[in-house]
Amino acid sequence: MAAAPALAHSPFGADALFWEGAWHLFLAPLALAAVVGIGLACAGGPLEQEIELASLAGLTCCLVAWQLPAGPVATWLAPLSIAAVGLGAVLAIPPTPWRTRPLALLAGLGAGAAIELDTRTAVAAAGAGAAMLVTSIWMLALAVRLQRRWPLALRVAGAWIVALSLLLLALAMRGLR
Amino acid sequence: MGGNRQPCARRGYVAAAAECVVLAGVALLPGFALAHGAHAGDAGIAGGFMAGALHPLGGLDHLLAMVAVGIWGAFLGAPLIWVLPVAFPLIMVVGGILGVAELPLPYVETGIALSVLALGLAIALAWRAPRGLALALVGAFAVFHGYAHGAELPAAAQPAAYAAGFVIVTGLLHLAGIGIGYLAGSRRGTVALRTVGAGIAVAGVWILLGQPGLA
Repeated sequence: MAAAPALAHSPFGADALFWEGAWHLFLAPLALAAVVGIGLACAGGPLEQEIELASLAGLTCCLVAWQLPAGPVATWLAPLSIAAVGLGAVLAIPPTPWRTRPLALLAGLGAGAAIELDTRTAVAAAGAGAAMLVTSIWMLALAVRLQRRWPLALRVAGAWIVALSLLLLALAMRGLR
Repeated sequence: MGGNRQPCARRGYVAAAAECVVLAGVALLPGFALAHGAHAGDAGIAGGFMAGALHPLGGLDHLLAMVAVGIWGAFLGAPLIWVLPVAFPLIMVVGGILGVAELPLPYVETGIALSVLALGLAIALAWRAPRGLALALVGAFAVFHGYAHGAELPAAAQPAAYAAGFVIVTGLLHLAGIGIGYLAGSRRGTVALRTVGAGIAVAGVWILLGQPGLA
């Protein structure tokens, strides 16, 4: 209890950029679709594998959000990679490490490209990556439960991830957001 | 044993449905988050999202057709139970892109009304259509529904948020249809479903006639 007030005013707690980066994950529909998509497409493996996949997605999201400038590449990359993740859920790919790792990578890539950080700094990108990691673990845990009870719901939801990604790609091509 | 299994299965579906709602809740997060966001125009994004989410619920034609796709899929059994609700959005996006691009597609509203009528009739008559035909039929209707949604997108205040809203709610309507379709497992349930199908078909005729008596 004594530590709480002290930490609340530490340099880490006061670093608004980190939290702003984390919050950005929840502000972009495509980034959120990537989080839901990784849960739908990659759920079902052992816990260590799911943590590895979430870490991979988080790290990729951090690097892409930090280094990829906003522009046509990001506009295309985000929806196409997230559509691929949704397609993975539709096809109900068995959750083996070598099949799910590329999907986790694509989810991180898509989320990072969809997030448009106000200030493209390492700290803000780390916030986005951390949020991607934590929410991916939650989504994987939630999707595993859903997979056991109602597996076809994962396929249906995956199809809607694909549809949303392609529609947003069409809108972006028309210059609309 | 069979008597014990059914309540368990029902509990499973209820829990699964609750998880679907949680999943959708996570997807709804941007709407709530943006309502209090620090960015200029964020309230507009939340409004766009809600407008999109409410659109399939506000239009009887979209609502009935989405639920009917799920019911008919469940009625037809595996693999169409998941193939139809999966194929619908994937083909619908083609119509959506045509609508976003403002390319002309004639008889959109008629096609949507016909989809309600045809899907209702298919359920009411317990029509076990061949896989390819069922897929082609649902795919053709999906193009009309997608076009209608797509044509509205550019005019929406926040097109991306609007698209996210209607996609999520439409997906949930499909899942609701599949859930209702599980009633087909029993004889009484089949009768109830066929009655629901007849009701949907009647609504389709009413929509096709321009919804007389509404104005």
